[in-house]
Amino acid sequence: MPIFQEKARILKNQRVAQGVWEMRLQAPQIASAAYPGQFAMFRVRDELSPLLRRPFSFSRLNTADGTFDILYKVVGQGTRIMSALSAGDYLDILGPLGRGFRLPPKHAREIWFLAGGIGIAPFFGLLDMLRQHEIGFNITLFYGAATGEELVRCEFFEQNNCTVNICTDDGTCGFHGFITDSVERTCTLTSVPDYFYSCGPHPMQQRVMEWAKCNNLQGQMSMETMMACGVGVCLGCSISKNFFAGEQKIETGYLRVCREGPVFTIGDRT
Amino acid sequence: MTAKKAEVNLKVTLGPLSLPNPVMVASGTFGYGLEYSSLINISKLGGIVVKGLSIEPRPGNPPPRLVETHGGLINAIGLENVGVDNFVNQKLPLLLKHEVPVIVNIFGNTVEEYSELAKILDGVTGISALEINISCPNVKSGGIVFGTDPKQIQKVVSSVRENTGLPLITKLTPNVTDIGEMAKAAVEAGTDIISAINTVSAMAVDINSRKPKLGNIVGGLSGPAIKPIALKKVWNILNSVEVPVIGIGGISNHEDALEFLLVGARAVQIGTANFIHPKTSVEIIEGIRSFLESNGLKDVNEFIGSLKLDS
Repeated sequence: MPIFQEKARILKNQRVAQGVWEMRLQAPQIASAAYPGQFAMFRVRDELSPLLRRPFSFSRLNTADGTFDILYKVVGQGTRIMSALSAGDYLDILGPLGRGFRLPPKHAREIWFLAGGIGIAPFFGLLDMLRQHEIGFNITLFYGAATGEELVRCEFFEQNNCTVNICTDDGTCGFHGFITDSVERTCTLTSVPDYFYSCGPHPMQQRVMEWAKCNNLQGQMSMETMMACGVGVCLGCSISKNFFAGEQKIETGYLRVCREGPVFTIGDRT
Repeated sequence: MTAKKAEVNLKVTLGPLSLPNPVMVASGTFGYGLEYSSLINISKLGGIVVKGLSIEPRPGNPPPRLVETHGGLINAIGLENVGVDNFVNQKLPLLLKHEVPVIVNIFGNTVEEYSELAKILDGVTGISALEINISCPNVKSGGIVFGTDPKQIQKVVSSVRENTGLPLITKLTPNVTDIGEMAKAAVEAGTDIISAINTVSAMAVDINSRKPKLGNIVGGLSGPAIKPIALKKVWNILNSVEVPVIGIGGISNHEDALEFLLVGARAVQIGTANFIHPKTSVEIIEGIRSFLESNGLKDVNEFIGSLKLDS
């Protein structure tokens, strides 16, 4: 799997929700090799401060015109610098990296997307991928944010025939509570998904994992961790194998989020 | 017809170890050598020091394993590695297809494990040297426990020396009062070369969660922040022993590398900078070449150790 390092031209960089920005970049080599769920490492400026690159998953890939989009939340020095950049500026990018999303198993029709906060980012590309498939999946999106102002482009999912369930921690929009509360309630009262995809902060993913184990569900989880290299050499982004282990199983050792992930398969292998 | 410009010589000799140029990549920052091969021509490197190997595979420390600081990176990986057998059987044959010196970093929990590793690797074709890791701050036994006591250093280094004819590099920790004493012990026990420094012991905490930022609580600092410390430690070693020294610590560009060569290091290793810009090491080689050319020098060895002390 080749990795490219490109000087990518920023085509647009705009605020799309409270604290959330969207950037489109021209990077033909990376865009044509990438698939949804993979990520790239961004060097936010040509200096050693901040020191490390920042990982961002692709939100949409536009292979035809050699561009891709990312969604990012401004949380620290690196993302603050990025949010001040303009169209025409360049960023040094390494990618595509990691294992992205795979198609669901053949039997699956009812698909749930579980997105927490900026974890919504890779679902745009995943939806593109699933909608290109001949099977007409029934897709339900559970999308949680701290507050309604932070929700990004819900209409994209509505326009692409998804059932959208919004959850906010403060109740300003949709269900008042965590996305995992909403998922657990819906799962109990009505139907069970054939397959799920989830991406979000670690505490959310922990609850998703418990829910998946309890209901014996299969799916894929996109994990987020601190990274230094993004290519599998520093071994800094590791996550315990036990996180993904089934009930009562104890597994020792670690998996690299940047290489074995960021998307991990849960339940039976597809 | 223009006269062809004489090539600048970048070859360096470190006792029994000859390198095509003085720029290597440091252990733990370049995997098992091939991960970056789609981005850079690894055959251009002076050498690749592979991730520290133990006899058995090691899982490493619980996450989080990384913290970024001002100009630095604290890590507590805990020497996760595939074990010496997997390296020799699966990783090394692929790496040897590239013409680049391969240096194997070794790590043991006991003196016996170090000598066992030396015995195993001594019989393997294609290895240019061994680097003895007695300086990892992130493991409970072995590592830095050996590297902070001259008597222990002697035991480890002589046990390795007795079991291999390969060129021996001993990698020292900066976390000691007098690194010169440690270097002397290693040299007396038979090391051919000293490399320094490994990471500087460090810690980071979160005032909101009131927890340490690393799963291992403490870790080792690398990156540009430690370069002046590394330079001084290398200087101390050069003033204590006669063997060649490899400078390591925060080198991010050719000027940094040249600083270490200027004080007398015969070669350098690039670490954390590989993560930020994978082409760093290759660009440093070119940068050194250009620097020498523009200063009218035909051989890197003319520059090595040419620090002027009297004003």
